Amino acid sequence: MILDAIGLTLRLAGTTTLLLLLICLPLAAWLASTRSRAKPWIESLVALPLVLPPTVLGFYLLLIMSPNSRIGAAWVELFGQSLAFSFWGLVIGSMAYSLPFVVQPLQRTFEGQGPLIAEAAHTLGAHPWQTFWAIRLPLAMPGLIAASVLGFTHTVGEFGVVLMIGGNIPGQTQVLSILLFDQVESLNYALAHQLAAGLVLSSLLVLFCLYRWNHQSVVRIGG
Amino acid sequence: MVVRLLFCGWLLSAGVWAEAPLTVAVTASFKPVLSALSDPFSTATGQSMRLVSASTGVLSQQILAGAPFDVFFAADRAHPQHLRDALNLPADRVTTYALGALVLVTQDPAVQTLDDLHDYAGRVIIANPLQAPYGAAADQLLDRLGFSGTRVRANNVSQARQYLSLNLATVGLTAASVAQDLPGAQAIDPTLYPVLEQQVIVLRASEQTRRLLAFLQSTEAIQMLRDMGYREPGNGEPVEP
Repeated sequence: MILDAIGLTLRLAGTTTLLLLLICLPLAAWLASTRSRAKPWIESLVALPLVLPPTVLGFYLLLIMSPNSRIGAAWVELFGQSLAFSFWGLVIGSMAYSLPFVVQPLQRTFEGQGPLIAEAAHTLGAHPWQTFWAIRLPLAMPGLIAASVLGFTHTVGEFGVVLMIGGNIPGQTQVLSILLFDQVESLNYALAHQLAAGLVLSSLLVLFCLYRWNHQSVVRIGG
Repeated sequence: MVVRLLFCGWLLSAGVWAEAPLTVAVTASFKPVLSALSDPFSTATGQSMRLVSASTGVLSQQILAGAPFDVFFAADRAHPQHLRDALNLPADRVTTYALGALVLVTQDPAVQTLDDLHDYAGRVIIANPLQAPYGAAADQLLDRLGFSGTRVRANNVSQARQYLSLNLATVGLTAASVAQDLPGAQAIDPTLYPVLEQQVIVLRASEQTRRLLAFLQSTEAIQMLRDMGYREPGNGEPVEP
């Protein structure tokens, strides 16, 4: 039971982080350099999950995933199964929930690079894509690592959204935080203690490594 | 000035409620009944109540942690009995108030009757068996039917109803009391699952709690219970010891 939940939680956090990086790299690079009027709007949208209760997100996700909605219906037609109570439903929920934790460190890193490097590369004849892949991205590695760690750990720590859209199915949607909730409510404190202490220790360890490394690096989280 | 006026208004309005409202913990399956009875109860007795609802397991846990409830309507016998022992309350604090019923809710053409669940490979929504007595009964029923699909576990029967009403899955087993307005609900032979004898425990005995329990014996309340799919106890119905 615990092993199922650990495996599922790691798989969920890993998938979510990978997909978020794919979306957030171009988004953060664009946000860091754009002068568009839409920028503050996009930044606000990205930061929303930081301030909204998870129940707001859970509520909208439930409505969207319902086959009564167009998206939910299209999903059922494509995959023959509703999005709610499925692994991919959780991935979508987690991506929305952890979005700011991945975008913001990346954006700060790209902003820290300033426009000069890209301009120098341009004068030497580099294509914008070449500049991105060969210069800006390698330089952004510390921010990328910080974004990955924060996105991953924040997804592991997710509770409210999965409680609302998960359906608590062992091995499929019962992540660690939900299993812990289950054990506490059914007075099984022995297992609850193991789970809670395990989460505290592993999270502390990951964060310690991140901040230790962060202390030595040029780019800092939130800096 | 406005603040002062508001403050005076608040003092006056507080004075209207001479008696503090009863805080009633109620299992999710019985909440529709108590909600509907809330107004008639205030009219009849001048007493108001506020309802706190979750699954029986969750509420028991909260009571053991010191939650300030006056009375607790559970969906089984086990939890009130356990609470009475744990809190050292006298035996007469616990009584049976209703016998619950499980219903099958299905909008799936593949599941016309309960027996079709034997070959059904889809998802069936039930309340969490660990915390909700209706979930435990549904779980045992599914075992008995040889169901091998996926059991989606909602936190309690209310969330199960919510999932079903949003069509997040097309089949579910939940309490009759919460399935009143769900399309495709059908009764289940009560001999197929454990008796859902629902007990109430008085946590803080007072004239007000006595009035509430007496009100539940009234013709109006009993009619409401029946309308919501419950049977009242003690009519020669077999009750498990």
